[in-house]
Amino acid sequence: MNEPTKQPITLALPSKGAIADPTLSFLADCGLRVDKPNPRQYTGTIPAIPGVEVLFQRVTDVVYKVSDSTVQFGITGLDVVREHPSDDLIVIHSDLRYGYCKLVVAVPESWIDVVTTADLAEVALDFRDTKRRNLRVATKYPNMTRQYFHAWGIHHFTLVNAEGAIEAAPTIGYADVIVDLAQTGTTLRENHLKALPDGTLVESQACLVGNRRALRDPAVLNAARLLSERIDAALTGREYSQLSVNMRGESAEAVARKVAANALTHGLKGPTVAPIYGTDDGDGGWFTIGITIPTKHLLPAVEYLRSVGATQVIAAPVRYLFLDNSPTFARLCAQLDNR
Amino acid sequence: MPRSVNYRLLRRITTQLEQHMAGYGYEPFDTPIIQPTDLFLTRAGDQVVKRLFTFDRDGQSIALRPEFTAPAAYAYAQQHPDGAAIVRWQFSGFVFVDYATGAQQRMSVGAELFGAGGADADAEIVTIAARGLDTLGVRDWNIDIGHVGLLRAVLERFRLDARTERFILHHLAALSNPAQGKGYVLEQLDRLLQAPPDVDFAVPTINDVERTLDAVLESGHYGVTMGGRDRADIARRLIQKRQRFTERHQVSAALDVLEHVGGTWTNVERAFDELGRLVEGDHERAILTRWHGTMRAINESGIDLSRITIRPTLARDWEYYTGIVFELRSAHDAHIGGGGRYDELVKLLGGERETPAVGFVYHIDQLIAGLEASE
Repeated sequence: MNEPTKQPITLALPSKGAIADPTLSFLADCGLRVDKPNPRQYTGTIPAIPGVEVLFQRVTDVVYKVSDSTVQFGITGLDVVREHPSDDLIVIHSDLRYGYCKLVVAVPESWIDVVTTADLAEVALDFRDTKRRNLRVATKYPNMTRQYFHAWGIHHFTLVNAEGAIEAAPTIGYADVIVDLAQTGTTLRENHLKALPDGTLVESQACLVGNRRALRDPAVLNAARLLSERIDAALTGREYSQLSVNMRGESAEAVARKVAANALTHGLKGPTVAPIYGTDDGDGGWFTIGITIPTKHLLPAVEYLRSVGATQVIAAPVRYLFLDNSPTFARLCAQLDNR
Repeated sequence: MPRSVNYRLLRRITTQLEQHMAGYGYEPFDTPIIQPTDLFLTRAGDQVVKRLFTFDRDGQSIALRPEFTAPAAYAYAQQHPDGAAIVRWQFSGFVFVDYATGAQQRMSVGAELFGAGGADADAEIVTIAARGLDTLGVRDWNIDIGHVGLLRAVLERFRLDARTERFILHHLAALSNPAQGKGYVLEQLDRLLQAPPDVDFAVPTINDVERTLDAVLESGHYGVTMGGRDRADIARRLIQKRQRFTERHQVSAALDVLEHVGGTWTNVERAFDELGRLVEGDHERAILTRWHGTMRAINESGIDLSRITIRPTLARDWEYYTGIVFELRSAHDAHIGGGGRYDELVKLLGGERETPAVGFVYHIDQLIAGLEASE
């Protein structure tokens, strides 16, 4: 079997583009601050995980370098991963919840006869039949575009490769339609284009990827576990709030029972209750209660707590929430076993 | 690993068939294995496109040839753009099919006859295809013969637009499949039509639509981005879309007729008697008469009509067929070859005018499997 490698484990991160800075803040949120000693160099370290080095690359190169196992891990956009698929590349976490965008088919707004991709398929045939030429599609994503068009029965098109200002192509006249990233649709509208409602090729966000073969090395797999743990804890933590509730009651048990009775305020395992000293005004005691609940239930939970006697509720964000294991790492192990 | 191929048998079969076709005056034709993908997409059916082996090089999509017919038609258009020359070509070589389970390389042997139309040319190709089986010692083969041209003529009765017509021809197999049938085909059509046009017209003439469009577009908020289409293009298509909505019952009626025409007759004379009652008008009748003539010519060339089944709605994977289409079947119902007439392809691939063309191909892997089983 494989000898454990002594070579360093490397995580490739986007060096520029829309997700470069968000990636660094995301990792910092996960407790994985990246140290970059020299801003002109392409390397860095993550002090929280000794032995893991950081290499800054463009998003596409992140995918290439992970696929060819130059590096073991990378963070990049899902759109780029789908455009350059590789058997050796495994998506460890597909929704890091930033860098959201959609890869869409957009046509000129003036094409009021084109409402769906099926319409576009017909227009492509019209081009062939009446103009004796192919529909021209400008895109930076030739692979996905080709697959998508063929899947819709659009076979007569010519891809126009362009690197920037794709959305201007139909106005300038070197393409008829485009396949490009859209975040809010503002850029499309400004260029008199409309995205087809059923023309989304991929819903993209930042993702963590790894090299399948490198993950056979226990040291690399362990690094994957450490990354997954931190990412899961931070992403799960974001969804929860920690409440300290002051409440009057006959006894700690009675207070705890009232709070635990409602699913909204049950907390992860149940409330912790502690007496508050020095506030005994003769009508039972005061207690403070600690629970952790999903933030989306915060307001109904507070209302319920008030209804059972709460007077003050302090809510604080949860920075990390570690569960008994990392779901992301469990999924990764299952994926690796399946091969 | 792919199944190992009996190359000795493959070589023997290929040589025998080459000699057989040479005996009819068919000259060898060859074409590069690697070609621009676009060449194979002209009138390819969806099944063919799905299984095309393609890859990218320098931003251009390249395909491994899936067949010889389109390259041959292209070569003919280059060499004889006026379509005047009669050319007989035979080909043999590997073609490539990309299945979900992996790519396969297959031997393909066959012939194309360019520049000759009519019953005699059709009969020549069917006869050579069938006689070749005799040469190889394949016993008990049968031929199914259909006619895409007749179906198109029948569909003309319903004045469908070109796209709908293509849609129906595309779904012939589904129509004659008992598990799918007319209901399924209409369902697929509705899916295609589901989006109603944004603009509604009381009187859809092109002038009205263009005037409406002018008003809409010049109101400013659509800007000037037209992406290679002009207002007339958009107007024309809006009208087509609207017409298509009103023609759904026409499609339904057309499918009914196709179901009637789409019988299976093992008695050729009876088939033409019954089809004669189903066709309408001079155009359809003329096509049927020519087809009947083809059958007589096939018979005169010594092929027993008892081996022939008439199946007017026989469907083949390539959409370029315009006239007769046929399939060779072994006693065990394996598809050992097939072909047909494709008079539009040469022009589509650059010829100056429509050029009669007919051809066929043997499925060598099926032939080998059959011969191995009987040895």
